[in-house]
Amino acid sequence: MPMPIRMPDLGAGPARLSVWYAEHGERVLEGERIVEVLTERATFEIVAPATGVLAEKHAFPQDRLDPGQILGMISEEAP
Amino acid sequence: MRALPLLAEPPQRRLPDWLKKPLPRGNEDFFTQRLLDELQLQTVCVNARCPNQAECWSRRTATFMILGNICTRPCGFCSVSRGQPLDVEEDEPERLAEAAFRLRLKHVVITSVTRDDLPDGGANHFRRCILAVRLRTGAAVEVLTPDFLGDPKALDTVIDARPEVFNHNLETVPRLYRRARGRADYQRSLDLLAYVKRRDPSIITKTGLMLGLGETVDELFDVLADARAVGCDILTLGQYLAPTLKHIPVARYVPPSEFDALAEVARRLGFLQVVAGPFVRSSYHADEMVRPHAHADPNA
Ligand code: SF4
Repeated sequence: MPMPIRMPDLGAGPARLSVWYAEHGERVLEGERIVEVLTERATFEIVAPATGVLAEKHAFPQDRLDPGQILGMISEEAP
Repeated sequence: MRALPLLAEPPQRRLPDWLKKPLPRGNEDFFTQRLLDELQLQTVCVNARCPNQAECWSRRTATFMILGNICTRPCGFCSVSRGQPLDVEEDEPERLAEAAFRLRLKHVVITSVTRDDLPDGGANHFRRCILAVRLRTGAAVEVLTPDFLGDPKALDTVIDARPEVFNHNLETVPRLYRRARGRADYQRSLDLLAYVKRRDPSIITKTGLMLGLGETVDELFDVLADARAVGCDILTLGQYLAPTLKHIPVARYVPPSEFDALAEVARRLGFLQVVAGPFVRSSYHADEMVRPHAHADPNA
């Protein structure tokens, strides 16, 4: 089952996606940092919620992010 | 409980590398947030836009902010709203104690807005919260209080409830008080720490400073020496991070190596415990700061 990568509620003000560490179709391991998010007060690294393939990206560098938003999907199979 | 209204635009620029945090997993069920919402409690985590919120809440810990979320003082570094405060909620101590119980906290940190409008500055409400938490959970209680305008009667009210830790943040060096702390007074804050220690030497006293507001190293050394001279036991040093563009801008991002060097100086001055680093806040991992000491040694 595909697993969403969700934007957490950081509590540190508005956030922007700065960089994906993984490419579309790349294999990622659960707990591995996968995407970087900027706020005024800290830079956060979001980790992969499951092991699999980064099958979809729904947010891109410079996008403004909201808590709960789905940033991408990890699937078990190659896309 | 909702966070503060968001700024119009998120940041474009990158912060220094050392202000990067991995996001812990473990708060997927939003346990802490749901509990705080249900019991309608305020936290400084949300109101101060603390960058550690995701981490602390996933550890199921939070710092409770009592006496409402509207402050009577206009400090230039702080994101808590200011204005006409609301009435004191009489059942807040019991709700707070219930939250501490359900979070299974062994060390409960309670802070408040500054309530210069109340005759006792909110001291009796602090006392009631300390007693309620102790009764419901048996946990150690740390209070992080405003200065109560230096009123000894108000201080006695809190001290007599015997919190394990009495924290009052000096926040910055005296030269920057006017700009950063408005109506606060450096000497009054120092006197408060001295008074608590004198009245009950078994209470651990604690203070914290924000770095990066424009202070010099010499000024910092003086403040550390002042705090030790009044017997302060625990020191926290963290990076000031402006809550919004309307607040005092960050003058400098202090690298971790400087925090380490300052912590070393502070230890040599005799603080029992020093915690220093960019993301350190006075309530960050507060339980771990105190555990080895429990109550201060009155003969120290
Ligand atoms: S450091 Fe303190 S204020 Fe910040 S999130 Fe943790 S408990 Fe809350």
